[in-house]
Amino acid sequence: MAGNQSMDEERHPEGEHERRRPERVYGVGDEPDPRFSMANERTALAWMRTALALVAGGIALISVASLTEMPAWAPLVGSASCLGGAALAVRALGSWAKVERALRLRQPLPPPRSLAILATGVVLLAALTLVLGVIEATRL
Amino acid sequence: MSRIPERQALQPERTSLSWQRTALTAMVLLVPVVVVAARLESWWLVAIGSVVAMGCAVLVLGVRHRFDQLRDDSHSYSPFPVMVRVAVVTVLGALGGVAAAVAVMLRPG
Repeated sequence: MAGNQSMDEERHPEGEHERRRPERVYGVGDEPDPRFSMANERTALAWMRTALALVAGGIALISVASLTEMPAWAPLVGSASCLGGAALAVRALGSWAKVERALRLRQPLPPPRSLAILATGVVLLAALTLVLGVIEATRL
Repeated sequence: MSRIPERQALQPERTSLSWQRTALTAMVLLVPVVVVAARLESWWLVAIGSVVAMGCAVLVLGVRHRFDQLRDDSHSYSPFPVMVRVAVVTVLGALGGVAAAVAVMLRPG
């Protein structure tokens, strides 16, 4: 009986907002419009998919390097893309928490700094790949 | 009564679809790593990659709880624990990629 009650509480807990994690987000402010929370969730998921795409791109480059006689820097560039994706995924969690907290506190939303970081990182990676590719081509 | 006014703009459905897209992407992330490792005959990486890929699939399957939560309009839930699962899968995929890169660079010849 107690087990059933506990299970029921787990599905439909009273005062759910007090138990939600992380505490630093749900422990402050008031409940925002659920549409805003869901929009924030979808934005975080879009960042996650961007991170997954970076990792997948890195793995694809490494896969191609394993199939052909590509120069040694190709797996290194792939690794950099993978690690960048991992960092972006972790950052997406932090960004979600910051925005949700701002929504609950009715504060202005924080600026999307990840966007500038991502753009800079992708441009640098592309420039590095281009330069290494040109150097490799002039050697042949 | 729904907490979302007339389920405006199909917010829960859009969020569920967003989760589906993310989960499907995350699930197949490590498959190329295992293929590369098998091609390089790096059996230790094949074994570790396969185990981690299966672990990732189990982690991503946890996303289904979020679908149930999004259908329940009577309570608010935190998406954070499920997001952490996807982030963990992404980091594991990245580490798998780096391991495959090391295997490619160390291959003989």
